[in-house]
Amino acid sequence: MNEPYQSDVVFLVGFGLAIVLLPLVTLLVFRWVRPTHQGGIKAEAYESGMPQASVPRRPFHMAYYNFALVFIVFDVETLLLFAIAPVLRDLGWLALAEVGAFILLVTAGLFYAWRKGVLVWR
Amino acid sequence: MRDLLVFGWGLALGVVAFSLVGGLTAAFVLLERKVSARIQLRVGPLHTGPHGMLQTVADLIKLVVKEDVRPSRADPVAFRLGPLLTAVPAILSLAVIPFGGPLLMRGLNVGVVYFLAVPGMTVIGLLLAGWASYDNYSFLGGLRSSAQFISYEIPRTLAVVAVVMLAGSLNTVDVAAAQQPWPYILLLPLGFVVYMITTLAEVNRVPFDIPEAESELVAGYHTEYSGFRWALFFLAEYGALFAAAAFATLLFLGAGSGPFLPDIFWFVLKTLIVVFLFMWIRWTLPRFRADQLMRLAWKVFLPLSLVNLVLAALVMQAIGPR
Repeated sequence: MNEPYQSDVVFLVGFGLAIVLLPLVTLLVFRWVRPTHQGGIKAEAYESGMPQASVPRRPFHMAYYNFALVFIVFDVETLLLFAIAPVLRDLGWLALAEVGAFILLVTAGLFYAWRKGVLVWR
Repeated sequence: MRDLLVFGWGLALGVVAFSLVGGLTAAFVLLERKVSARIQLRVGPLHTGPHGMLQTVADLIKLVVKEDVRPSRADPVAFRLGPLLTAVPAILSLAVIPFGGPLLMRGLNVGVVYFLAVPGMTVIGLLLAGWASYDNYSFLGGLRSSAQFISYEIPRTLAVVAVVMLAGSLNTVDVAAAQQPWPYILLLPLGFVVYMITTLAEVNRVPFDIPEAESELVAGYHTEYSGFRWALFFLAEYGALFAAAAFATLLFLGAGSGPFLPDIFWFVLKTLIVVFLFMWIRWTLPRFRADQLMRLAWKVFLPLSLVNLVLAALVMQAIGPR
């Protein structure tokens, strides 16, 4: 692990710590100022003034699952592209052709999913 | 010892970033209300302070002293964690934006990936907040938000990959420096368009504000929140808006380059212009339907971003190796 990388991580830990702590401190401090009268009708879920129509703990729509699967394929693709993208400019035509073949392959996957009707909300 | 200094510097800049986002949120909400009023031939806030300038300051004070209502059936831990997980990543992403001057923050060696990955965690916060509230509106809003978020993340990331190919670095400072003769908006106009439109979806703004479509979902994932926890969602929204606009400036608009004045001036000016553009779009266009939204992401923007990659490869060969 080289020096600059290590100090980057140390910097980010400090930066992140400040950003996590500040909202928590604000919440704590104003606890003594803001009123707290929990319970009663106020503690019911707000559904436009009606009593809650149905239990919100239920299975979600199947279409989300399809999109999540396609998402994972393409998310991995973009991540792999980030590994080679910075040096691609110095590598010449052969490397470009190889990356092109990879992208073409994944694009074929996209059109397969398209033809199978995965990308339609049903 | 040196590590301790860097840690302290990070801590200090974290406080600066948080206050910056707080101040910017107040300023942007006011700007948004003024811009929307002008576009819709109204006047907007007028009475608190000169020209209503203190309106959002008053709103912020109201929000921190307001009761923090929690529905009795909500999951106590997840309900508290949701807003935090939404706001923190949005503000964290500012760490790699090279504004110039003392606000240089840090040009991480993986800065570009960091900027895309860290706000990506927001989706967990949205889903958690929606699920924990024990409310049908929140539940649906959380699901829709996360589906939209991940769908638009892919064309957006691919548009950024094209820039990285040309710049030859993942370090945000290098990407800024690589645009010295021409900003990438001239070399990759299609990439810029894809980035801008998908970014609108990432920050949940009209025409992609399905997650909080008032007329069908009340307020989406933050229906049950009030007081400061609700304000955290607002901080996240406007923090993400500012960060995304700054990132657009960095990737496509030549970062801080400009004549005469210092870098930081040009960087902030360009960022504010992009922010104004986002507001303009918000108050001009109607909202997409949920299914149209998904179709647009996968069948229009994903192919377009792939075409943009090919164009980027051609441009790259035309200008030759470094």
